[in-house]
Amino acid sequence: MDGECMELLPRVCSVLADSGSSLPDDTSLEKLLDWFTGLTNTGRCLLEEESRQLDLVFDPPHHWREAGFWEDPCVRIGWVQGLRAMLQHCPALDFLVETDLTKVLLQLQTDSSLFVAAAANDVLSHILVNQSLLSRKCVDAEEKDGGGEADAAAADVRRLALTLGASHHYATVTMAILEHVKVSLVSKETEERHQTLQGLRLLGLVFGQARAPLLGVLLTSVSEPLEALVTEGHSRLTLLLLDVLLTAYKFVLICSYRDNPTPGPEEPDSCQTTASALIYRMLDTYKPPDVFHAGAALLRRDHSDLSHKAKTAGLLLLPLEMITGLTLPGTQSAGSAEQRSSLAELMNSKTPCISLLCVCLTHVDRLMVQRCSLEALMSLAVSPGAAERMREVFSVLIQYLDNPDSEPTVLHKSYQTLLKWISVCPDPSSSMRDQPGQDLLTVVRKRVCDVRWEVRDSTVEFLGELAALSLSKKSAQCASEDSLGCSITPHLVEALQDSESYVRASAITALAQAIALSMQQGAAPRPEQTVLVSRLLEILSGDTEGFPRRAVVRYFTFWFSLWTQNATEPPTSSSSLPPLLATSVHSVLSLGSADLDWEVKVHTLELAGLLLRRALSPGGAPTSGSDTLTLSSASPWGQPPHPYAVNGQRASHTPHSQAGARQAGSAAPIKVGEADLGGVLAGLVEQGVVSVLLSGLFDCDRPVALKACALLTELRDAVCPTLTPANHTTAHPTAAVAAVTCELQGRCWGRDVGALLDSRGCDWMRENGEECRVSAKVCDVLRSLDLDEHLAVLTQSSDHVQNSALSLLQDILSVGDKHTDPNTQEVIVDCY
Amino acid sequence: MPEIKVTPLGAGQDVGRSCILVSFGGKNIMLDCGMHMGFNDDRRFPDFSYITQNGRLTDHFHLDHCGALPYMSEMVGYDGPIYMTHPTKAICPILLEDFRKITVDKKGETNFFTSQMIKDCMKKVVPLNLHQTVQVDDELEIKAYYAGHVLGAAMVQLKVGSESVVYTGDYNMTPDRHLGAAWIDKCRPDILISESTYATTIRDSKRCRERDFLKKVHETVERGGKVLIPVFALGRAQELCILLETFWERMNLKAPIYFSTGLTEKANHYYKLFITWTNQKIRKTFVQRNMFEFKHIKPFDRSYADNPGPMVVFATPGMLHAGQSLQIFKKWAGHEKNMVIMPGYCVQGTIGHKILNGQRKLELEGRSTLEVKLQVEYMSFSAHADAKGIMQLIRMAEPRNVLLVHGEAAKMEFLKGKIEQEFSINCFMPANGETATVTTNPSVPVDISLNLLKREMSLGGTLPDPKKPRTMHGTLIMKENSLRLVSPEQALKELGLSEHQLRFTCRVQLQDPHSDADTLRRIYTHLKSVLKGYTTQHLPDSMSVMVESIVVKVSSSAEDPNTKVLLLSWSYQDEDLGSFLSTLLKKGLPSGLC
Repeated sequence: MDGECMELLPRVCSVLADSGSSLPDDTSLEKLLDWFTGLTNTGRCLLEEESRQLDLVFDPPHHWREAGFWEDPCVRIGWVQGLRAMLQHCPALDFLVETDLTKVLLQLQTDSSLFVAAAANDVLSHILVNQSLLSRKCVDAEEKDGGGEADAAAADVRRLALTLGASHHYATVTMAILEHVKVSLVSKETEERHQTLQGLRLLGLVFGQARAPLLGVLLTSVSEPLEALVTEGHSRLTLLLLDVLLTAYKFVLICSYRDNPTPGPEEPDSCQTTASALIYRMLDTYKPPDVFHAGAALLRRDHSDLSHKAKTAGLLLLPLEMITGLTLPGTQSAGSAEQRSSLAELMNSKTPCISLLCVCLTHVDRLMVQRCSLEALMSLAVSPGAAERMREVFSVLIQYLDNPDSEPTVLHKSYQTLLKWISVCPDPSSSMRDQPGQDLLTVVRKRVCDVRWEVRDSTVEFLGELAALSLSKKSAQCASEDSLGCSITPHLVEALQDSESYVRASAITALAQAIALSMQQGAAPRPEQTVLVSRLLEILSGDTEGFPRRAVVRYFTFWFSLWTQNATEPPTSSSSLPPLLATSVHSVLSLGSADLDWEVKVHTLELAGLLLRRALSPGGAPTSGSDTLTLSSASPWGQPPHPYAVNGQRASHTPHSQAGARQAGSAAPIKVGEADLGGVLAGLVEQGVVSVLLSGLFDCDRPVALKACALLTELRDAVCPTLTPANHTTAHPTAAVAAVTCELQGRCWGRDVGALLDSRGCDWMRENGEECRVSAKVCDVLRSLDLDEHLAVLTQSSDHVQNSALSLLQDILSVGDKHTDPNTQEVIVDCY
Repeated sequence: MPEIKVTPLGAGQDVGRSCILVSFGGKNIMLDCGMHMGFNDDRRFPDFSYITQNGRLTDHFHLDHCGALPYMSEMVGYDGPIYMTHPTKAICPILLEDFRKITVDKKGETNFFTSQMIKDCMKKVVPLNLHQTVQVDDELEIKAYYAGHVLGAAMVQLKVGSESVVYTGDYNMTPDRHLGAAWIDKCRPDILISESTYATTIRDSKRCRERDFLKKVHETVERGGKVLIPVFALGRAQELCILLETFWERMNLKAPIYFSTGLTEKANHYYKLFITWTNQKIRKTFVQRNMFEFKHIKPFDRSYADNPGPMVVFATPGMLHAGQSLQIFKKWAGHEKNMVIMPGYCVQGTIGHKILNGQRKLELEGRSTLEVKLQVEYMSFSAHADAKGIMQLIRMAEPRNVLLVHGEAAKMEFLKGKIEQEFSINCFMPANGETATVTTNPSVPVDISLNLLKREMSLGGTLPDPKKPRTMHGTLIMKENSLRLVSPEQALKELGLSEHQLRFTCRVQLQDPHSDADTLRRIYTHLKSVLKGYTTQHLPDSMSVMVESIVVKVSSSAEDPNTKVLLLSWSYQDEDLGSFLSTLLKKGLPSGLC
């Protein structure tokens, strides 16, 4: 494809030159640049081929200024990015020095565009940190033609080059950048201190990456202006300044361990002392609220120095102390008299007081105090001695839950906090039996009927997670009774009628956990379970929303996988399924595969996959090669993700892990005996599994087709393996397997399969002549489907052709053609 | 001077990924949190790292561009409140879910927000009513106005003290078949941030476009062809459904119309639920017949695509880049008598973009190609204000400054010129990442004494009304860094000062050949007839006439007894009346006076 692209490139360039900026899609140029970048990264260096053009392209500011392009921030950012790309080549630094482009770059550091300024800073830090190494390679070449400069500046540069062990050109650039930073740090040009802020940002970036000796050189040269900034105490600069100091402190520490440098002219230790002293000075002299913001930032940055931390903690507790009147540990020596008096002044008015408390309580910028305290409470659950405080915490949280004024977000956080506390309790079920537990259930009963769907949903989710938590504890004690399951199930069943689909879906998920709880305790299916199952199937066939339908399929998948794990005797075929489960699975397969929502179909295929593997590997549990199921295989005892969440790790959705799954599948051969295979296959046809898979394969939604294709491949490899490079003899299926047929009639995919069979010259059973195909042999169907080729196509994005470089170039060319056609109408870029 | 700063992270001189940061009065607000559909990587979201880099907080949202919202709140970690109108809160998750499904369907992306994240994000949303002022905290208040465009779209006014900002989002100044026109009161914001998609366009009549659309669909169906209309589940789809439904009814057409996705059912449910947000006509006819209960439009099953004969199908997604619309397109593209109508814009990297650019040979997966023989039409039904509409909104709101976003740079430039010329106000158009700063008038709070207020109340009678400003008379005291308005008596008392009375005097010469006493009487008669509602007294003993506090004395000139000298004197309170009288008397007395 690259060849074709290269052929189109000259024409594309001329279209771009002609049409200027009038491409209808503003992403085209950026994507073109992506392609170029990709090419250079893979070693195909356009720049080398076009090196003669470099001067023209990169000595531009004044050319472009004349043309008026430089005003456009996109041009400036493009120039910076180009420069950055160029810097991966050794001679780029020489070019930079010779053309004095560092100056332009330093100007762009304070550009009016946030993006340009950030990009320029990024390049500057890249030059300082990475170019040092690169420049060493070029030192030899440079030494040869290096002239004998005589002036003092040149001597400084030479000294710096020696200190850094880098080239002369590198030292020149570094010197220029350092001088610029020093000036910008103390520049008071504008009230907003844009220049100072950018200087600090650059230092932050560089300190985080630089190593000795560069780090020492940097710190020494900027320590004076940094000190001046601390003394000045401008509140706009506080956080950034603190960040720079903390980074410097941290990395000097790391460097001194890592590099074990020979003590140079700049002792890392002394640098560290400087940074530490400046941090202390900030904490001692800054006034509230700046000092609290700085303190909160210090704790949040996970700073290593304990004395800094202790001092900060004392400071942050001051407002609480002032409000409560209690003397809190660590606050006695915190804060100077001046800091205390300005704090007292601030605490007198409401808004700053609340925001101060929020900062101090959570180190988070702004939140309601309630939510802050809930977060704090949540993190306390894991601290030692938490179990003794359980009752107290329960009663506070129940108060929150009971309060009619509580906001939905506060209730949500209260539930999460409760779960966290219950999770640390050794036996959650038993804690539910106690008084606080009973109080909680009373409140929850009320909340499950709240007028706000957000609250109902959080409540139902909580109940499900509570059941899951009880399940995960698997305590012998709680196995003896099912009080939790009994008390929450009726509410969940009621929530199936909720007007909000989110709540219905959460109720179904929670019911799956509750039923697991009762199954774990060995309870036989109760009569109400039959009612529940039919209600769920009703939802699957009739609910207008996808979420509940997806949840229903997941419910049965979960139930099925639980049953396979709990089944005492090794099943030989699906006939050993409990009747209720067997009939429901059948209904779910037929309803789910005909759903309008492709995610319902994917979940149905997951269930089909479980059935398939169970039938093929009589060992029971779905083993290797199985797709990870979010509810079942992430161990039913773990915290299950939401049933309709797209799981980041789910194998079926990434081509890479798909391949992995297949490999794993072939590594663990199917264990069904040859003689049984025919029966197994017939069983799968009878259950509707084969039909679901074939239907999925011809689906227009890629994930469905992909999933079905992977499962069909698995089935094919198990029952009628095809020729593989490793196995040159075609394995013939046994007579029993070969005899199994499946229905084609009345299926929407029947026609497609029929056409494929025709093209292969396979037989099938026909009724009343040619047109009406009744059934075909499963093995013939599986072999005629070209599953491997299908899989290769499906693992790619469905729009990979349209998103390719070739497609992009063609699109740009067609825009060019359009420009020349006077009859075309303007396509206006509007919203979506 | 106080400042308002506006920095677009997205929609600055471009369209898509709307995200505008506004800082004023110590508050940082993010307006919209949109997504760019033209990118498949991180560039689809605004770069939120700039917010933390600046150490800024993002306090609140308003949105009708919401694509990146779950990303911001669930993946980046924003945990504050999010504001939306009621319909937006209801419909937003459908759109997000639809978009998530298409994205995941297309590529199986894993680094994308999940349904659970969408739900968790929606739980944080605080719903807004139109024209209801919501107090976000002690200082910041927000108020939503109707914006047309799509159901639930709102413009929002942000206010801290006396400073205010209005953000329009997307809006439409002309009503369409189901929505009304945008409206805002004369709120005179310091800055109006307006979208400018159609900055240079004066759109042709909507009726023409609709007629054209119906004609094309009708012709295709008549000749037995199939019509595919790729849409996104909400917005334009509903407008076009109503259009076709009414046409089918009127023409008694029999060809089936299908809508391809179950999503619309939910969308239509909300359109019915939020009927108050639709236009007057729909609301009026609602009782007899709900416009959103379609008689002719049926749900689509994928097997129908192969049915013989004509049909019209609305299918998602709208850019032909995945799923059902693409599948149908592939099936129908090879026949000349079929037609595809693109009712909106398509980004590069989609089949929609290619066919709109006139490409007739498409490469497909596995090196196969597709010959596009069907008719391709582009008809924008997007509901944005055109240049005229934008000017109309500016006239309505009377802002002190205008800032344009959500449009192409060249077009913005043109509109900016027009705005500056017509309204003599500044117009800004920052690119993404650039900050526009406007200075505002400082707000000076003044305390008013209760006594003064009570006195005003007793004089004026009506209760204070924030919409009807009234003039207060009092003495402004600047003391100890505070400003207070008190009654003059209280000021004298507090400051320990004594009161001085001030009188104005004025001499007027008058030719009147009568005795002084007669002249005085004649003046009295004249004034009495002119100043009917005033207390006018004739005091012959002191040779004077009094009108309220104004004293008029008469004496004869020493040289000429016919020349009278009138001495007028009045107090400060009757300054207006005094000036009037002196002017009146300078004109002389009417001749017929006896």
